[in-house]
Amino acid sequence: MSVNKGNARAIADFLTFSNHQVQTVTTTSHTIVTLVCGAAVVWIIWFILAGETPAEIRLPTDKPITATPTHSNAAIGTTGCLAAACHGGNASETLTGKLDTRTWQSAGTTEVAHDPHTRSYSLLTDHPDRPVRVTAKVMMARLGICTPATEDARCLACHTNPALAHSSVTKEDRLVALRSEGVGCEGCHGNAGGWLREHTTWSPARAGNSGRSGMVALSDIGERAVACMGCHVGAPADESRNYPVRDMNHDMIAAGHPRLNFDFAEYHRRLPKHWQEKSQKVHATSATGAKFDQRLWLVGRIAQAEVACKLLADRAERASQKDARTPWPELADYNCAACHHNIPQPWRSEPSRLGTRPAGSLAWQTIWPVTDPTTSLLEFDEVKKLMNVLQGNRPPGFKGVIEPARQAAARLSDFRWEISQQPDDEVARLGRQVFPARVTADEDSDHYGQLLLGLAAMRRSGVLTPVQDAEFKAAFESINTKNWSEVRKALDVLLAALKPQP
Amino acid sequence: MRFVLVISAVVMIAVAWAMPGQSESRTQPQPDAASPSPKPYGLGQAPFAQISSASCAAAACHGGGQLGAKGSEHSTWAATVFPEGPADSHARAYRILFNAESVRMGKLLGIAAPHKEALCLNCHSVAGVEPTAAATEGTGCGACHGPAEKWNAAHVQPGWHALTNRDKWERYGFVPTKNLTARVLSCAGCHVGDASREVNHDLIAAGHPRLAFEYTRSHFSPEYRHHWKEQTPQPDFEVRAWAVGQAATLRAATELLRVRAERAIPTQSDQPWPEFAGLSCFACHQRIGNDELNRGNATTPRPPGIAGWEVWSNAAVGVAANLCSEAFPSVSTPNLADVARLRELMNKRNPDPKAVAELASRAVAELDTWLADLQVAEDRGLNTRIPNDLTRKLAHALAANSLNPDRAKLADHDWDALATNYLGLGAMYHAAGGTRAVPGWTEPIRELSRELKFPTGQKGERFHSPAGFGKIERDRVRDRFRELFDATVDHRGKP
Repeated sequence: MSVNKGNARAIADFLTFSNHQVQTVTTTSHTIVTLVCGAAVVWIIWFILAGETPAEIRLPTDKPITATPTHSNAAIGTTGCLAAACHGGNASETLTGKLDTRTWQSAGTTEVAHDPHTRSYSLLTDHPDRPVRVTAKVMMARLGICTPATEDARCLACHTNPALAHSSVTKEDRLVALRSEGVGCEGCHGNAGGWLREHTTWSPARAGNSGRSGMVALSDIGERAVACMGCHVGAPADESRNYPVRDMNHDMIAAGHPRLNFDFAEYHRRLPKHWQEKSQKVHATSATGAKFDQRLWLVGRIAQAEVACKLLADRAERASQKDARTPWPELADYNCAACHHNIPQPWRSEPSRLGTRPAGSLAWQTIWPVTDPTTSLLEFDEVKKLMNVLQGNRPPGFKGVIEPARQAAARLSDFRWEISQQPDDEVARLGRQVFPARVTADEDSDHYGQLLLGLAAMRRSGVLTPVQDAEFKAAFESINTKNWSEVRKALDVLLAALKPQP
Repeated sequence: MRFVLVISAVVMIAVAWAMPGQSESRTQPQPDAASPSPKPYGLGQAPFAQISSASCAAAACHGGGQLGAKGSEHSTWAATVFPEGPADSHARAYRILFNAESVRMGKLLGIAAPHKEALCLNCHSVAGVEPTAAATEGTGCGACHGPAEKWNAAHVQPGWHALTNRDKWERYGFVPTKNLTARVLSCAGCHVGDASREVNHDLIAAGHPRLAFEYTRSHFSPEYRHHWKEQTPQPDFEVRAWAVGQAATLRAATELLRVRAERAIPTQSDQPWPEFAGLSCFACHQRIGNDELNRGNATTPRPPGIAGWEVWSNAAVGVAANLCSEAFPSVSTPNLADVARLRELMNKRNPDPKAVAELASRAVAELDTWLADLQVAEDRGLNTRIPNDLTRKLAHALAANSLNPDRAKLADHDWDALATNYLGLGAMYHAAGGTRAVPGWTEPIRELSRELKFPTGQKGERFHSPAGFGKIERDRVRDRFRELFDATVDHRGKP
């Protein structure tokens, strides 16, 4: 399994230690600039007069409740957020990476200008905004589907606001038009129909309100991770929000869709920010963001395991209902390289490579934080049980998977919440505990890649003793050239550089 | 004149009276024939006791001292009597259970002693042979010729030759291996597998070679030492053996699918489903990366993401079915509609084991009807030789089978499909007389062999898969099939 081009870009990014290259947006009209500046001045005055200080913004202390909007949860579209006095302000500062308490004013402008999510819909059309290897049209032809990708709920589910994906929407021209915005504001924050007016009045008790109204509580890192992974990993249908099943499976990969290979901390780092982290204001130690990456990484990895288990349970459930579009076993749940490898002599199934798995079983995807789940942080009975079912020497039947996967997801969900409530030092301690002393798995680029991205997050958090860029560079490049012994060597050096636990 | 008229009237009346009687007497065996579809003899294992091969090896029986001669069958088969030259690998089947690879496999599968394990011994010795020490003889006489409990004494009696082949099998458990259908069905018991002799994905993952059986390839392998002389001359023998091999291999594979599906039906079943060993190995076992996979120069009869079911046994069976009436004059083209339906069902995303088991059982019945026809045709004595240019016709059909109708692309890019078509072409080339007779086929066939061969890695490591078999290689394979397509038209330029 080769690590895709994304990693090559990651090396470049990583080595320059830069934020994303930022383009400045030129506003064409002086009037707008004047208005925006005027609004900003008014707001600053109001801000000072109101006496609101950052210290008053608090992290939610209750677990966010699932979004259950009280009234209409219709989509309004990105343009609805982009009024100059709302989130359509001048983004010249935000786009250069300066984030402060006024960033929200230009959140929409920043997103529209520079966020890759805005391109997502175009990828379904014949004129994608970025080069693609296989166009949506070709993929649909290969899958033998006559509907264009721009009308198929399975594609739209992630290439636009999921709430606009259902085919019932096609009847309303206004909503169909909104699809072309791609994954805009509401794609992550939730449809704004239920809170558009109200949310301007919520400060400071934002978290509680957002849950009740249908606004997604993205200020919580864990909830944010889960929201991202709704598409970047996949999720069951959500009737309360009118979301269809979001499931990018092996059929689509075989037809040409890139596999999903998500790492929350890394994707988060690369996303142009249109917000200021609230947690950075609360936890004194995080004020500089030093340990924030560590938190992102650990919470993100646990959330990913949780979301993957939830999706697995849903896949098994759909297979049990004989859904024609749900294959079983769903091969996308397994490590790609479990099957996709040549068969050299000696065989891959050397006892040392199998670990506790029987020969001929398929290794599950490496969703767990870095190490074998059963020997690390996630030593939960539910997780162990699920792994035993999944990695038996047979592809497990769907009937035996549904319950264990559900239970594991529930346990992981609780654990994610517990972790995200811990202070930074504790998160840091747990995070380091996850890393092995040395590289443990053989020739598995997924595992190596995950380890490397985790170490990169540790480095950004300052828990890695200063090491040379050479080791990171060597590791990334060796993964791309499949030079496994070099990868292991570089990773071992980096693992040894992890500061001992306090 | 009147006399003639009267006579003819009498004759006509007699005929008219006789006709219904005749048809009645014809329909009489109907209950038998209409009950399950005809089955060939030699299916499965006869329910009699196996005896040691040593009892065949008396000097006056099959233990003579002349390599390859009648009466020296056992001595020719056993590796020890004439150690030089090629050997019969069946005689080594037991011994390899002790080699390092077998021991390693045992470890991975939790088997302490492979040479004592029924799972291994069912094929690597004569299954169920008594005394158990006789297992050391490997895949001995009884494994292919049938358990000798009953026929050991009978087969030297004067009446033996008067028995029909079916009687020899049904009453005595003797496999009449002179009949190609009975013979290849017997081979397929191990080389494809059945309910009690199964190489599944667990075994393959632990190190057992996959099973990929093609009868003529094994028969004419230069490493194989025959202990009999074929009665049928070439090319008739090889053409018929190839066709029978296609039918028998698919029959065994379909029955194995039925057995596996059957096992997976119960709700609490822990049996594997789908069983990966029944799917095309290299559909999954290939490296994937940034390159477009198997596209561009090839089409596939399967939806994306579906590993084909038994591509190996299915890819060329249509050619054998379409042209078998020319090799076996009294056999008509078989009806394989349920086989086609089964392939369709196995191309579904989540084939229900119950539906698969039912359809597979109907497909097996279809194949049995075909095999029974082939078998009867052979037993009736095929005095007529096959048509002069049947090897060419079959080769042309196989080349066409590997390409799309416009011949711009491969019909199926799966390595198994390519290899199956290549092996069929190789058989026809060999049957036709090789480079002397059909010089135009030589180069493309040799190149196909080179292209499809598993490579050796840069460090000299051997691969058990077509590593690095990509677009360029598929392009070359397609071109070779095209060359063969062109080289196999007749003198008028027609198929």
